[in-house]
Amino acid sequence: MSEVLKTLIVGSGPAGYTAAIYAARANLQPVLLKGMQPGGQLTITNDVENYPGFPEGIMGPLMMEAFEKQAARFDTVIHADTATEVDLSESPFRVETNLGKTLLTKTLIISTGASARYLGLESETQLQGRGVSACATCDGFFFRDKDVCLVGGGDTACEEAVYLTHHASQVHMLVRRDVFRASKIMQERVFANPKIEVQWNTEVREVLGVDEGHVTGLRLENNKTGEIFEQKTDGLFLAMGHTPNTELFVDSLDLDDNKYLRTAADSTATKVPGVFACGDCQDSVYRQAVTAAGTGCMAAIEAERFLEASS
Amino acid sequence: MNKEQRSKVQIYTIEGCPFCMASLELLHGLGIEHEVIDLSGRMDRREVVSAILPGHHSVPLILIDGKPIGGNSELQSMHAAGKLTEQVFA
Repeated sequence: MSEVLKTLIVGSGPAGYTAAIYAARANLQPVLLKGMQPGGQLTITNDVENYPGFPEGIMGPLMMEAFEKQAARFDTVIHADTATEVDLSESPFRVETNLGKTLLTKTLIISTGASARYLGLESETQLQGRGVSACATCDGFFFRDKDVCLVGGGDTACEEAVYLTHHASQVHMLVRRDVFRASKIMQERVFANPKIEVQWNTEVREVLGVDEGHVTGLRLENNKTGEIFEQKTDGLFLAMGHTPNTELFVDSLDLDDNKYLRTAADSTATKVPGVFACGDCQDSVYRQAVTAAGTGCMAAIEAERFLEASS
Repeated sequence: MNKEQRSKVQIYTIEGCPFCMASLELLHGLGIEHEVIDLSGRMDRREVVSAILPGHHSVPLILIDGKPIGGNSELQSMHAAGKLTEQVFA
């Protein structure tokens, strides 16, 4: 069995790395598990223009590299590993990992973030990697000079649509409502781009091409008129937002109806003393990199105070 | 006990691909030696991947003993089921 850590951080987005920086500087000798998508959602984001301190913007992956470097500078021990099981029933808390480690810790900071939301269609699952993608950065090139569709109406969807126009011949944005959720500036960029067509009140009912082994089109519904129609396309990108990665904690912590971890008011404290949650796994309202970093800082400070009070 | 690797593992990646990173980190964490084929900047990326796995339009693409097993989610699922190390190591 391993030694008992002072602080274990699960997750490696802006919340996790900020928690690590503060915890390390408070001499909590934090250990951080990077998780299944190291760096989190920002690693599939091209330009981050709204994080303060970067007047020319910064590429998401580069930003996360810088966060990791800063956490490591203060001697955070960073493992390319994922928590697969937790036992929070008693202290020290026990965390099992994908690579077979058992970690014991006095405080746990949960910063597991959120993962891309899918449509939940059987055809979508069968055609993943074969024309269905949740990562425009990774897979956009495969659709050079092709027609693609993108589902979503927020900032990420608009950003990915604009990015995809660098590769695809045409990008159709399939938006469920008749307005975007996105910020005004992103909407303006979409409307100004001649390669983007916005289809309002449109939902995907089926992804076509399962028999062919690759996406050939979509069966769509206009949710205002009820019309069902087929549309040819070569690719489908999902940019519908994210669901929090909180399955590990379903039995031990309180989750709200949308699976976000519940924390005390003005705090990152969960119902288990010594366990704190920060970033997009507990924030259903703001879900920004800067607010995630802010709650990461709070979690580390609260962990430090918890350890002092219990020593 | 150190196990001997009996399978050849190859992974096609591009720069800046987080799912490629996740696959690489898993292979590294498990001590699985692997060949990285970087398709960044290659204009024939689509043809290379489709030639290996027809209809596949995504990276990473992982092969074990020359047989494509799929992308990151397939690799992670294989590991979660205990099948990855079972297949790769003697």
